[in-house]
Amino acid sequence: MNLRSRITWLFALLAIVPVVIVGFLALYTGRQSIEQVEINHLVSTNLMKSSELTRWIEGNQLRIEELAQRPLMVQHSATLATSDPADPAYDNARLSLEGDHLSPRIKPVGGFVEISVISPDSGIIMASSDDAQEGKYHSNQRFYVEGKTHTYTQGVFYSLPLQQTTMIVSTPVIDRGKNLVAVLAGRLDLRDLSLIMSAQSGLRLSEKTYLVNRSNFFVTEPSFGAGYALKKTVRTEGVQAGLSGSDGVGFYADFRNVPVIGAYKWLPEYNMCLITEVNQAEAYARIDAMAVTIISIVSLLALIVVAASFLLARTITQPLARLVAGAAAIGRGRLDQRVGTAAKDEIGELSRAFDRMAMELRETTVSLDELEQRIRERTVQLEAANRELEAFAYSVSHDLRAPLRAIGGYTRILLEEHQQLLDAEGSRVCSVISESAQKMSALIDDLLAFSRLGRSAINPCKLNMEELANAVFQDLTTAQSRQRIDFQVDAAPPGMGDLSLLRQVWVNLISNAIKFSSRKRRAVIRVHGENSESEVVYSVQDNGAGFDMQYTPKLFGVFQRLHSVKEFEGNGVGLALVQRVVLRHGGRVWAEGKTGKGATFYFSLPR
Amino acid sequence: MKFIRRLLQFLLLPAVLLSCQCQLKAGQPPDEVALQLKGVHQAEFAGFYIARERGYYSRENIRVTFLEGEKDLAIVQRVVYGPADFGVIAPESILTARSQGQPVTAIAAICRQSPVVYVAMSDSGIRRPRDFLGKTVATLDASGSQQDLQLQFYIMMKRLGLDISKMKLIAWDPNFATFYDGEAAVTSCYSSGSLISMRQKGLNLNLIWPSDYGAYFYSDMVVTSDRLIAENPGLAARFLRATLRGWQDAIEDYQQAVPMILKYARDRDPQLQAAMMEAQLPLVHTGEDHIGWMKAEDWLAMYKLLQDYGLLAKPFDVNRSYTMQFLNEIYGSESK
Repeated sequence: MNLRSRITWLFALLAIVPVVIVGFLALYTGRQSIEQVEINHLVSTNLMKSSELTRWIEGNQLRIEELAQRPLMVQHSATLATSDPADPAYDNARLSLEGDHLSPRIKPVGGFVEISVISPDSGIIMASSDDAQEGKYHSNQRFYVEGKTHTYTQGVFYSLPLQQTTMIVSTPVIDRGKNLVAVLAGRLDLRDLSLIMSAQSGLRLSEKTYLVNRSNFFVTEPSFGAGYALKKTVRTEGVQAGLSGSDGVGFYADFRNVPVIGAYKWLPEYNMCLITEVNQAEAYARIDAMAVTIISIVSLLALIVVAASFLLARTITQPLARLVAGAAAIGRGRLDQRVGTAAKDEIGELSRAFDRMAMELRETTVSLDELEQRIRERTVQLEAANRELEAFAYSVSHDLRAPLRAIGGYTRILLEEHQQLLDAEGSRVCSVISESAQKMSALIDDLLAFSRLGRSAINPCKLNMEELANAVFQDLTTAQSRQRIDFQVDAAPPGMGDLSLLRQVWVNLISNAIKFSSRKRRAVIRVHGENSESEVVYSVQDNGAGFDMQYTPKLFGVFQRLHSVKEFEGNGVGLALVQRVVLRHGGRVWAEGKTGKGATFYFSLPR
Repeated sequence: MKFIRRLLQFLLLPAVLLSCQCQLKAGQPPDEVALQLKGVHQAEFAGFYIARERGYYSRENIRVTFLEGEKDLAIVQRVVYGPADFGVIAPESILTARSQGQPVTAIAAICRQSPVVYVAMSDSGIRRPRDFLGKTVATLDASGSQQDLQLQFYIMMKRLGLDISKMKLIAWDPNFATFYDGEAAVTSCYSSGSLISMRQKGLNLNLIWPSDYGAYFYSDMVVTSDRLIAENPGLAARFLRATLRGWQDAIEDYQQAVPMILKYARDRDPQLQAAMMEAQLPLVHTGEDHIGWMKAEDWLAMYKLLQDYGLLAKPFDVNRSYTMQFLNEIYGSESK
């Protein structure tokens, strides 16, 4: 993930997370308080409904009691109770009761749907607002039995003859002599009860209140349907809790399996449970609306934050991108590239510092170029000087040979032809002069050979190094001398180079090995070669006098010797020559050794 | 010795295990119980079918056999002397049997109202028993299996002081041909049975309920013998508990009961059985009291009616005709 995305997301995260948390908390507390409001509302609705129910029943009880106490009511009832039905007074009393007292109290809707005067002895209906009821017996009915002594309400029950659910309020009719003359019974219009229960007490459309009896049957019609009263049972969590005799609130699925918040209240005086429920969907609609608002705000905020953080990230990363491009250009050598901005922030500072760095780098690079130029010039000068020096050395050596040859020649003449003129001391001196001249001649020859090496051209060809080394050894030794030398050439890979020059290398190295191991009773010389990644390395190992490694730097110098001439003859040009040849081939030389333990000389040629 | 002991152990162990198993099994077989119904299989006995189909009897470790009612069948005799252990029977039969010294006791009232009703065409002007005077009434029990129709008629008329000699009583016709062709102005019928088919014909009827005129009776009672109550009260309680549960289910959702009724019913018309079931509901559940509940005053009222009518051989303590022992045990444990 690149820096821009990281910054964008970081800022977005930092801004959105608190907003989401705050939104969630707002939602949660909102839900809690709305829930509490709903619960309070349901509980108070239950209280209100139960008191309305009580008021309705008590109101009807009062009405029937008031009717029972009317003097004419008492008088006519007494007449019915005491006279023969055949007696005209009986019919008069009955008609008067029905016409003046019972029927006027019947309303088309609400209140009593039927009021009857029942005989206190037989339980027969003597007079009724409903003709059809006359002559019926209620002797076994509880409202009649109880109504003889006090005002009584028989709860909601199913009347088979009426083919409907009903509720009856009864009260005794007592004359002045405290005699029971009748039982007055009024059948209540249960639509009133259902209306009381279903009347909306608030703005909740789904709110419903209903009564349930001990056997779990609906007593009133719930607002969601008809034909439930004493026909259908309900066994919801709320109903079960209410029927267990407690009051409270619950969250559960209602009769139709709709999730509701329900308040239940047990009404011990009626053996019924009062339930008020509201659909959770409606109760929580406000919360849902709030949730929608909060989610919208959070989403909008999130969008704004993401956009803003994107722009912010761009203002940070754009100069950085320019810096990256500038650095890449400078890396390609365009040191005049400038990335600096006028911005006053850290990135502006960085860009300007970058520019300064590029400027300084440019200056440094310029001076480096100058230096290289100077080196080139010096090298040219040095090479010229070297060439002059070599030419000088060559000519000096060459010019020195003539006088030296004269010294040698004349000394030999002196010794051979004028021996008799010289005494013993003179002869010895002449011999020394002659030997010294010969030595110097040899030195000059070597020097010339060395000098020539620097100038002669190289003709490279593929060389069988094994054969070359063996041939050189054969040339350098006699059959006799070979008997005391254990010479062995290991598999040495072929190499590319000038035959005569590399032959000289082998001559110098093998002859050195023979020379420095001559003191050993049995000399061991090993020639070895092997390929490495970029070069072929050859070595010549002996078990001779060896050398002290601290003198290694001197080994390959001209006229450098680690042993005296008395020990091992030589003039110190051999290894210098080896180095020169190998270097001219592009290779390198080195050596390892230890005094008295032999030495190994290595040279390499490029592959 | 050691070998013999080991051999004995080897042989005895399975025997001991087997005997344990046998003992366990011996405690487990369900009680075989026969229930004598008072009529042919129909919706009237739905609660019993549900209790069996839903395994309420099995859960009480009871295997129940239903014995269909037949003509002139002395249900009381069959309950007291076998082969039935329990019976479904009308309360007047219990009271008359009891007055004759038969040791039979009601343990619950399935129908606490009687389905007996007298019907007349609504245009006949017959609205109450008094209007029966001078009319032809089809209510006489010719077969002996509809005693309640006749009995409640007589009791109602006696209670009202109406002279039945002023009416023409003819035999009750189960097909109501005499009623339909106008020969009989009034006929008796059952609200949970024949009334349904009359209403299905679209007839407008006036209903005269005997319970409105002093003939208040329970209907289907669950009875058993005094011997069973004394010897195995646990069985009676278990049987009744399962039965009441079946009835509770039946009244809570009678539609569900219909397929189970159809497994037994002679008449396999699902609509008829459903309608019968619906008509049965208010008899079982009145909105007051528990299913099966009985009241002393109701028993006393029924006793008095029969006594007044002279149907009881000799007076006796009506409270011995029924027992609340099992209802109290069942609902007492549930009482709030």
